[in-house]
Amino acid sequence: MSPELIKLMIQGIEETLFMVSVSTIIAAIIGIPLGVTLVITGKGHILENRFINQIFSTIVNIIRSIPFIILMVAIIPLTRLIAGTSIGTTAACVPLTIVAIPFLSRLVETSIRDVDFGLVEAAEAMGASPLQIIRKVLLPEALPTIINNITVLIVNLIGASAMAGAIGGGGLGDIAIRYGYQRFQADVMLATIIILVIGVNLIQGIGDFASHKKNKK
Amino acid sequence: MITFENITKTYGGKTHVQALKGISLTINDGEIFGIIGKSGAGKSTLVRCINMLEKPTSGKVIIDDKELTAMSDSQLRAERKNIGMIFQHFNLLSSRTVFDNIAFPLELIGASKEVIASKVESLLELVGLTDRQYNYPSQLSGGQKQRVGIARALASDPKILLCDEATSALDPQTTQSILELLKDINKRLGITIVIITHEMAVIKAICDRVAVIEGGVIKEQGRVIDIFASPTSETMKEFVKSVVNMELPQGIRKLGVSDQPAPDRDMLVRFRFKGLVTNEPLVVNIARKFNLDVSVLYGNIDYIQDVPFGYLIVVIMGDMEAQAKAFAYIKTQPIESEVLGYVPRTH
Repeated sequence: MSPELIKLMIQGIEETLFMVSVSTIIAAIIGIPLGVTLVITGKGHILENRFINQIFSTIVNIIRSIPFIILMVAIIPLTRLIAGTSIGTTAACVPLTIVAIPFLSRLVETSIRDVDFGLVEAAEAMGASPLQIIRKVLLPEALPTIINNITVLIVNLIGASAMAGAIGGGGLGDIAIRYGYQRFQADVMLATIIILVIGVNLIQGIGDFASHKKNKK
Repeated sequence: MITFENITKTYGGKTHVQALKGISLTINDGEIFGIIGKSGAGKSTLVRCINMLEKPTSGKVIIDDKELTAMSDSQLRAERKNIGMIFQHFNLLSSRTVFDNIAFPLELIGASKEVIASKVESLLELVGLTDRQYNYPSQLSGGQKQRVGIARALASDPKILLCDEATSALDPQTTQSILELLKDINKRLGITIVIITHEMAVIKAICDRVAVIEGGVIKEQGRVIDIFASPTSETMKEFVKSVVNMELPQGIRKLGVSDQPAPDRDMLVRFRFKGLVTNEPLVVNIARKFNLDVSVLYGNIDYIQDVPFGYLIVVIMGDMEAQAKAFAYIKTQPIESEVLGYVPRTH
């Protein structure tokens, strides 16, 4: 590979990292509280509210049912509104974040639901408020699985970010398509694949380690 | 004092199950009150009505002149600090150490680090887990977990401790030690303890009074010793039978028990003890006074709250007339007795 190509690869890695980090962070900030909300407003839980539960659940379902490649194109006007442009790495963060939020919230919902309701009951019996139950019982108890959820999200986002290349989003996926596929440069294709395989394994390893470290069960 | 006034609880939905059908009950300060029932009887629902984890459909729950059924959520949260609760499956936070689990209720009220440290330390000592304070619940045995549960329930200095099947997941030895701890806490701290269980042995071991619940209704209640001696409801009779056998053993029944005396038959008598009723050696006296042989066939004497209680079935052998005289003498003694029948003399 030529030095230019190596430079290009490094830039691709940076762009992918940028897209994945931005969307993961925003998804965590919004998706975790959303996942918690989906559980606690559910039937028989601490802040049961059918109306809110139905609204959030429906929004999540709608976004989750649209394939990413279609969603990305469909929301171009919104992307332009938020990022000021519809092409480039920053612009690609918008659709990535939009799919990441409901995805993570569903995963977190399951993790929170897996916390033994007896613990919630015990906290209630001690006079804990709903907010205290969320902060001191539900989130700490679900933390090991929530770490796993975020790992799954990151790996999925790496995959999705490759598709963002299709709208000029940049990143490793973009390079693989443009050089590896369209220009028949097999070495670029191979290098991208190797980088992705190593990256995904690294992230999965870190995630598993962190989750295991926090799991006292 | 905890007072239930005509509590009902109906679970909504299509099935519409009425779990409690008008329960009225008074639990006195400082006593250990047992509520026994089979699964599905409504006992867990009833105990959850004390701290409003379950809100009654109708009726009042009053604790020391405060009507919990009329309280707002925030008033209720404040009131719950006076009511500790322990559970069958302990419900400890797996992500917290023993120390932090016990500190949990203190954190909720915003206690300072120093207050928490000194309080938790004394509680660890009370339940005998000082050397385990840095362990996580997963590293403890069932009995140790329940001790953490007890310490946690006591952290906010409650006046009432609710025990929901607290020993049902433990083996008999561990159950015994947990029950002893509860009794000790009741004596030392004067806390009212309400115990929900399906095991009569638990009631027998530590309760002062007991109520039996079936189908959402209290069938019978009273002092444990009285209930054991003479249960009236069918449900309670069944429970009493599970720990105290008062039936004639199979082997004796096989001999052919007649209800008529005969020269070739011996008299079967059942004595019933409740408390220290006599200082006289009854059995020996019968033998001496009437020149009869007395043989003990079956006995079951136990102590409930330090009061001896039980049954003794004896066969009085000898002359028919002497048998009758002996029984007349027994009747003059301050002990309950009855003739069960007459068995053929075998020798």
